[in-house]
Amino acid sequence: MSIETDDSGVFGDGQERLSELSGKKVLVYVALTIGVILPVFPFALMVSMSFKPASEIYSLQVIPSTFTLENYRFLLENVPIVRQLINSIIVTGAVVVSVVITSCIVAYSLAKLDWYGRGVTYNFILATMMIPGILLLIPQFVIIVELGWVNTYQAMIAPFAISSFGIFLLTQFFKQFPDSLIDAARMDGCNELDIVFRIVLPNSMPAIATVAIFTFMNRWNQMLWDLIVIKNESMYTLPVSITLFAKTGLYGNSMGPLMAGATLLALPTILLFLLLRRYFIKGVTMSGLKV
Amino acid sequence: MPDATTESGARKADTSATKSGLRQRIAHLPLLGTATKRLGNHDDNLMGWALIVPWFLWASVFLIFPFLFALYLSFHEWSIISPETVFVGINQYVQLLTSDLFWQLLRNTLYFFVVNVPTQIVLALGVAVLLDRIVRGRALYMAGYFVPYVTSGVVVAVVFKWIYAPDGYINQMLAVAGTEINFLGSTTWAMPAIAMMVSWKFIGYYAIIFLANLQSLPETIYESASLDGASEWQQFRHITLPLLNPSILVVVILSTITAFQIFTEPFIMTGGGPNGATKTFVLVIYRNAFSYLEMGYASTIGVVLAAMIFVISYVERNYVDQEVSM
Repeated sequence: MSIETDDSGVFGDGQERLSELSGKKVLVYVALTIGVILPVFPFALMVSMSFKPASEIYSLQVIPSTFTLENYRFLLENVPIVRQLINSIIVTGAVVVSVVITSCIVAYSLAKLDWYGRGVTYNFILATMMIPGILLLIPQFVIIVELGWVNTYQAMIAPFAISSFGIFLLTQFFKQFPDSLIDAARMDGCNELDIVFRIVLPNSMPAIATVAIFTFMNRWNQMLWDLIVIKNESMYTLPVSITLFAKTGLYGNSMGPLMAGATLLALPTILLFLLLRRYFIKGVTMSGLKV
Repeated sequence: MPDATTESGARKADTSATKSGLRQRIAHLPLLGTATKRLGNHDDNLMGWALIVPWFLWASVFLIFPFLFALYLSFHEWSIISPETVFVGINQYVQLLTSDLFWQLLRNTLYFFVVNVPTQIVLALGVAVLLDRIVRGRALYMAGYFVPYVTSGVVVAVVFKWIYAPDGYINQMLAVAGTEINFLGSTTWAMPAIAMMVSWKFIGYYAIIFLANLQSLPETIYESASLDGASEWQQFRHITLPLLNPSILVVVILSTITAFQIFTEPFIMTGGGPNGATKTFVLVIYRNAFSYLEMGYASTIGVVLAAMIFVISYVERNYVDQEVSM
């Protein structure tokens, strides 16, 4: 399943000129343009509020009449936001690297090697995707406590370090990978890990990018788990910090700083999505397949 | 290590020669005999298992053990601070299923589901059908509709908390018309308001699933249908919609799973209020486990929730499969 897109954008060089558009097509564009305001507008509002002075914060005006960085300054002074941003980056980065490496190795074994019990193992891995995360929350927390990992990075990394979805997606992709290339590499003296990392991986970049981006998105946006295993403000990740900020509202008239924090949290995923939306969309159609 | 594979052909022959003696000796044993025989039919047993072992180690600590431990805990009373777990049999299940809370949670979830699923399917389908008709600029529009899905639920909840607030965006506009609705403070409005917001977040995601399905439909059907004089609406109703069954199924199952696991939004926006109107299963599990330290009871709710998700998506799958085969 793939979706044909024309990345040249609305004003790019295409065959169609505006004059050649039929009336019906114009209506389609008008409907889509009006419709797209709905998903985008709340974010425009958020960014605009993060730059508004406190006196203007409740006004409906989307473009602030006075532009201020006061909200961001307030956030920097009252919340260890830089440290929390770094925490988010460390945790997400480690999880993405780990998921990509482990998914490649396991998927290669499932797709390209012939061993006893392979089919059962693959079905078992698929079955684990059906377990709702909430069921595992308490036992996983108990494990983290027993390991003495409360308030540590490894508590936020280890449970996400391997992903059944990543394994599933790459296994499907690797199955189509030509065996002749692998056999040739084996003849030339590559061992299995060489084959994974030097032959299969460089030739599977689109699939790996999809796994990496989906993992990034899910881990960056993860709130509940971090809320449970982290008790120390300087170890919070951004979602936890913003959540508690929104719930407690400790700082008086805090709407502006709150929106500034939300903007910081939203920006990385939105930017990455805009840059790499092809892979996001591929991941969506793949995740539809798993159900 | 590198030469292990270069000579693998020769080596394999070696080992099979030495092993065959052993294999013959155990061949008559009922289980072990067939197992070794089947094992012999595969080429890469050792390497295959070696590469899968990291997954097994990780999964036993973070998936398999937790799954079993959750089942175990659901039959025990345990506050995490005391070392003892007390076996209480099915007491906690009885306690849960006979409590008003459980039925309230079920009602809330159902309410959410009833608002959420039709809204999402209709709007996502609408967006997908429109996107299907254009090529130029499609990627750009798709990106616009997809942005809410990639954004953290925390951000969405924070922004909509203000949009819905008594002095918030919607109410300032309603004030012009002379009315005011305290969306999150009213028992009638709070759940639909949250459900609409979650629908809003997922429309782009589901639209892309529909779009992928739409693009896989053969154009010849439509050509012959329009030759037979079918109007555009008739084509949509009698050709497109039935052929979209597989992706509608996917969307319904995904929204079911979402509906039962909603947490971040009520946690940030209402805390489960007003008067329990937006309490959800996950919110109650979280409170029981981490505020009241009732790990056993929280696990019971978790097991019941997982069972419901499993059964409902199983029923949905079979129901829609039937529809398709008809």
